[in-house]
Amino acid sequence: MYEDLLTQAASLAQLDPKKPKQANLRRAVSSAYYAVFHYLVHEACCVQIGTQHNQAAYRHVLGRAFSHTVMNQACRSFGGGTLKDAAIKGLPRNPAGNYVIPNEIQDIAKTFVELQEKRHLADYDLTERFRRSDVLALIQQVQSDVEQFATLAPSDDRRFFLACLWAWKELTTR
Amino acid sequence: MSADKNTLDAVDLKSLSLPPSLPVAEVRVEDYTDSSGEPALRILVVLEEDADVENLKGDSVRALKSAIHDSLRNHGVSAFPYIFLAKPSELADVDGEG
Repeated sequence: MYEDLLTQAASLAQLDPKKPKQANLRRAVSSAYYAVFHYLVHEACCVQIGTQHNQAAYRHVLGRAFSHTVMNQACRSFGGGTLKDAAIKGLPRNPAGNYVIPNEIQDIAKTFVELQEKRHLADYDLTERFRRSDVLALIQQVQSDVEQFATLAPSDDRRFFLACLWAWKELTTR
Repeated sequence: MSADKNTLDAVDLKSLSLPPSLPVAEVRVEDYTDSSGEPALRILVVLEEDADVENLKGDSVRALKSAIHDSLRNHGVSAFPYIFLAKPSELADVDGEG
């Protein structure tokens, strides 16, 4: 799903290069957002269910439980580089006392937050004018962040981030 | 609404360490409230007209945006920066639906 949505975004952004239609740029932004959304949901479901082909139905059902708002809140915190003490109580810290978030996680988290806002503008705010340069950059940014995240070796930090995408609200309000 | 001095200092082109592969002419910033109601920043990065946006690399985009995020963080600015890129010709083209 992720690859197809990003390909769709790129195709739309490349139409009419001299005078791109706002409708195409807006749909490209929306597709790019859903590309990163579905990528993260898929990765999180793989951690919970498993990666085998015959487990796909379980992943797809679980994927329906993810909330755009909760994912945004989690990504806003992870992208900011620091998490509230209440959320990371008991987790390993560096000598300075900080829970270190890998750059691969920070980058894709920031991109998620940025894209969710731009998708909102693209779908609902007709006063916003989208520029092709920005849309092309977003698409490359998503592709690069996903490729970088995919190189992140399995680790507790990676699993924790992916779990926080669905558990963040409960984790931060207790 | 215009941003405060600390924010303006953070996005000053002279202090930002930007990737040479993405030439920047100007950085503009204003206070913003995002769709979830959170105070944020809206940052417009005006690229040089000859910037090769057709062959942008994701690494360059990430480096540019990370430089802005990092500088804001180092200046103690916690508002999330929504960063937009545009060429001067795109900013000038405001007529019609397109």
